Amino acid sequence: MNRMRRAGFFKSPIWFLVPVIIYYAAFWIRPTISVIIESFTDKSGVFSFANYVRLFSQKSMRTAFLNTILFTLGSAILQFILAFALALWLNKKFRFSNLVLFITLIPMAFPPAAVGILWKTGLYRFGWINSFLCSLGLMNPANPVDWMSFRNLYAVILLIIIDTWTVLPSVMIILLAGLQNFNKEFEEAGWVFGANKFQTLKDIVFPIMKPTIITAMILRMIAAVQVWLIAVMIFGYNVVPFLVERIAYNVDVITFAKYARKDAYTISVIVAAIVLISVSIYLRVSGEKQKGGEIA
Amino acid sequence: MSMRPGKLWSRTVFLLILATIASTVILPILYFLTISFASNYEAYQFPAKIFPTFSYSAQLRYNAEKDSYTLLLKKGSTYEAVKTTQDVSDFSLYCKSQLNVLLSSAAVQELFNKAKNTDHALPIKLKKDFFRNYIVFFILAEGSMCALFNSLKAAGWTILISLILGGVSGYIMARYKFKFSNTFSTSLLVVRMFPAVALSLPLVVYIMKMNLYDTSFALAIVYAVPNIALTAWITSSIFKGISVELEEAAMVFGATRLKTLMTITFPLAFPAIIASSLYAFLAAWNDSITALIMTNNNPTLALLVYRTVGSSTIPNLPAAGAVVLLVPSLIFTFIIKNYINQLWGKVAL
Repeated sequence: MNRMRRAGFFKSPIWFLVPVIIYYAAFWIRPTISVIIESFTDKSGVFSFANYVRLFSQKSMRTAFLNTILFTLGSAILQFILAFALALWLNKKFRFSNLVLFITLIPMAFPPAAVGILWKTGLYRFGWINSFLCSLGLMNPANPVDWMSFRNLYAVILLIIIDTWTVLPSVMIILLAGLQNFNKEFEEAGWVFGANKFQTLKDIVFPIMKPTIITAMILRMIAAVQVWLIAVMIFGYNVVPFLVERIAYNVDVITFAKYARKDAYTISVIVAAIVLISVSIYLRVSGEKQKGGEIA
Repeated sequence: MSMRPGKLWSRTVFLLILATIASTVILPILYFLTISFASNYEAYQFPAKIFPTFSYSAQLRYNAEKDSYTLLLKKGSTYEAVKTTQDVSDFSLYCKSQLNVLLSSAAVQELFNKAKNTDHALPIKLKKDFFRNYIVFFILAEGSMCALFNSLKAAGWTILISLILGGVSGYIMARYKFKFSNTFSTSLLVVRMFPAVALSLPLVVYIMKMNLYDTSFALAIVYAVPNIALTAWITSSIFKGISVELEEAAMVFGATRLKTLMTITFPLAFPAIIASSLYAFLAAWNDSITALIMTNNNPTLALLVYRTVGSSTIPNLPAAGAVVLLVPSLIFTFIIKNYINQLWGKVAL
């Protein structure tokens, strides 16, 4: 270390960080600034809120906003409950628990495009979901349900279930890692003092696991805000609008419409803002525990 | 065997949960795999099969009054007429496009002659070309192979950029304390979570100026943004775990700083480097929104799969594409899974 100090400022190791800083200046900060400027200016480059006003005067955009909130909260709550229950169960270590863990982790590996097709093959009128329900005798083969005709809230709920199928394992594995680090003796101490299972869970396991739970949930919500592919693959554009779905629609379908580019820019600023707010909450929470935080 | 009722009860619940988990994970995947092997004819059958079939039980009937032949396929306990024709090549084409059965004209002619000489329907077994959908999707359809290579190229560049820039930052973060080290690592975390959509849109303009539009390298530039940060985080935690004394010992014996890095530090950090490369690979491989924004004629495989779903009514061909998309993803996710445990279990990031 001494040798380094003598070698002076120009031999400081920080110079090795210069390429990264340049990279981020060019490919992160610069585009971010330009997208913010684009979203707050009109066509002639004058500052205005016109883009935001125009966007929120569109019904599809308001629906997209509402759907994204519903989807994010709905999937976060459902996934948290299921993942926590599953993690508690798998943490008990029974025979074949590793095999069960392996099986539950499989959907995590599915790329979104594959998830979209997998469920599309199931949801159409003659798809495997109806086939399976018929073979169990739960559905009349003469009158199958057309799942893809679901609209509005039902469609969002369907997408929440599909999303849960694929991301539940990744939430579960974070919680499971947290539980495995968790000192069993705390729980046992609770039992000694006469607490029942539910009380130990509520008063001992949850508070200690809180940072892990918040990490998992914030990571999930950041991803959930950006949902679009499964919605478009299953229902097509415009059926269940989401924020990023609106961006893809502006870029992919109405590419040359008058406000397509401005709209896409403005929505992406909104998405980025939501994500950054979540990140700052996350940083505050993980800072409480004096820990860098877990990233996935 | 006598069991306490409580135990019996908990055992039943246990098995019930087990069965639910297994079926919600495995059933969809089984059906999905089967559809990726299904011919057009099979894809329209209801109820769909769980397991793929290798051949059809069929009958070929000669209709003397019209001098035509009818193909009947077994459906349940009866046979269903699916195709009536007089023409050999028409029959062969039907088998190929609808049933995934490859029959040469000569073979069809032979079957026709046999059917003509029997007075009842001729029972035949049609063997399916099992990988037909995959061959059609990747070899016969234009552009799929290119898309596959684009995905691989984009992933390769992403790994390269993230490893070089992220690995160096990780090492510096682990070994040196500098003024802004906390700011630096926090901003890495923010970058890591920043949505790629918000970057791809404005970057298209620069990419076009740099003459890189519609190339895999341009995609890699965007994919690398969060992955450099991730690589830096993972490698720095591993470098922190490698003791400085080990490096110093090597230098005492006369090794240069670079030689120490190459022979001591890198081999020890190898698992972390692999894990972060796989993360980078998966990020590039699974992405579709950036590819949608930044490519035109050279899509990645994920984007192509998404597009074929939109354009086709029967999902068997895109399903075949998706299975190929799935394979590397599945393997790599399970390799990383062990590192996830290691990273979160022993070396708290």
